[in-house]
Amino acid sequence: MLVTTTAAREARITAEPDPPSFDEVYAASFADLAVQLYAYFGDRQEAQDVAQEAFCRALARWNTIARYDDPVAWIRRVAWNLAVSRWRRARTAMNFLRRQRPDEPQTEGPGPERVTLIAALGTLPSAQRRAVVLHYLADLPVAEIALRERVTEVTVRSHLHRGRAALAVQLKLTESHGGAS
Amino acid sequence: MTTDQLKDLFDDLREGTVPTIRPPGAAAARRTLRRRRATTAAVSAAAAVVAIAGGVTVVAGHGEPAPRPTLAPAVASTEPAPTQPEPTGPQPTGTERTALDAITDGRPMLTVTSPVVTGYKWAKKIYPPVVEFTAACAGAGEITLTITGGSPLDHNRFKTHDMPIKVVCTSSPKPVRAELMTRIGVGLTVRMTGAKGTTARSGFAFSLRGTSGEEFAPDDERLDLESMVGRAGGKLDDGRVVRHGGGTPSYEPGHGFSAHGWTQLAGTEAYDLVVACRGEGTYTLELWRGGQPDFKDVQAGKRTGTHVTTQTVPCTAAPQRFSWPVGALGSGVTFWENYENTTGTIGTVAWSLVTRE
Repeated sequence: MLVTTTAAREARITAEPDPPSFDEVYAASFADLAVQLYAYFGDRQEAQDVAQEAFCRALARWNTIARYDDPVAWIRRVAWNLAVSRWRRARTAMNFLRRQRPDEPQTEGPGPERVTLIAALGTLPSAQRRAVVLHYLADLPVAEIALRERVTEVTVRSHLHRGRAALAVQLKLTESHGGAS
Repeated sequence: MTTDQLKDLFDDLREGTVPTIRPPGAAAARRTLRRRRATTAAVSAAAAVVAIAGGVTVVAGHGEPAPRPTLAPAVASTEPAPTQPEPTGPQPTGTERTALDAITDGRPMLTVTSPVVTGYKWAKKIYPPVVEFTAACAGAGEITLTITGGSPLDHNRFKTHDMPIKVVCTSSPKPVRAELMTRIGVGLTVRMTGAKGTTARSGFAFSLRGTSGEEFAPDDERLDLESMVGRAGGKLDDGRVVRHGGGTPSYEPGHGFSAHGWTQLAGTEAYDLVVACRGEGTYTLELWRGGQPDFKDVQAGKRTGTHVTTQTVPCTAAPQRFSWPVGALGSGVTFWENYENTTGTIGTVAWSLVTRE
């Protein structure tokens, strides 16, 4: 008698509760992750590309990742690794070419407040920008950011402090010119 | 500006941007993965053909010609996959035979049979990273087999956990199957942790089979990378291995080279560099001659000293051994490594420096 799919499924169910499916995690997490990366890059399409790549890599070993306590944490970590890696730089030329296509789906542009915030974020050094985005958009505690960035918690607090101060200056300057409120 | 104000701005950014995100979709991710796997398979096949023809896939760095390997791959690609070994002990009979017949299908695999006895335990070191476990029980009642092993959790971190599997014993056994993601070369233990309604005549059988690439039996030591490069009783383990290394080279493919280590050597000896890699993609090892590099340079990925050689090997499910002469390395050498693939598969490598005969 050959192995049957049903029997294999029963074995998994017996072993542990059903892990989340890839589709469930994708649907629940893609947009949040893309927004975080958008705040970091200032480029929505690039953010979506990096998020999609992270999910592709997760899919390649989903049987393992699905059993983790927090599969999204793994995907987020890969996405941020990609965000600062050669992979993204290598994609730049391809992205440029793709944007020349006339049939690129268009979406409504961001409002002035969001443009101002993204622009202000863009002035921060990358380490500060990552710390601010991970803290305010990914809702990660300082300790987890420190672990991810491989720096001390003191360094993360310093990045957050300086980032906040710089953003305050940037956004107040804009306010004085009647921009964002 | 207060932290609350900033938080409000980010909340607004999140709420305003989420509706504008256009996810390519989970189906698109699957299509991407299928395409990449097909490409990887084609590349692996091409690499195998090259190996058969007597060459290897070698990328020379810094404009230097790559020397030809001096050792043939330990695993010749033309060799057929190992077949199920002929049993040497007593042949199983009765319910054990019935259970065994239910799980064997002619493919190479490791099989074990036993009567249902309290405290049953079996352990073995296995090599494939993914193993298919199949069990069946003949007779009456129900047993629980608990598999214990290490599984990859994160970069260089592994978690040991138990996987209990219930197997119903009947006169016509129905196999149950589970896929195990394991740390390569670790011990795997199968214990009988429960039995309900079984009799003295109940017997069970289970099998283990590698699932990646070619179907290797789990105890096939040709898959042991360390043996392949001369460690742990391998063919080169005759005192000529002066340095060795390996492990899981990179958690995140595409992240570039990282320093693997620095070592001091005699300075005048000539060596061969022997490398083997299991995974998908390629593994590159760079050797730089010189003093111990500064920590900041290492962190920044900055090479120091004199470049000696750069060698790239294909990583495959059935790893092969490659070797190159690297000459004298001087008093110190730094190893830089890079594992590249497109599927996110964790790779495992082993390398050694072997004194030339």
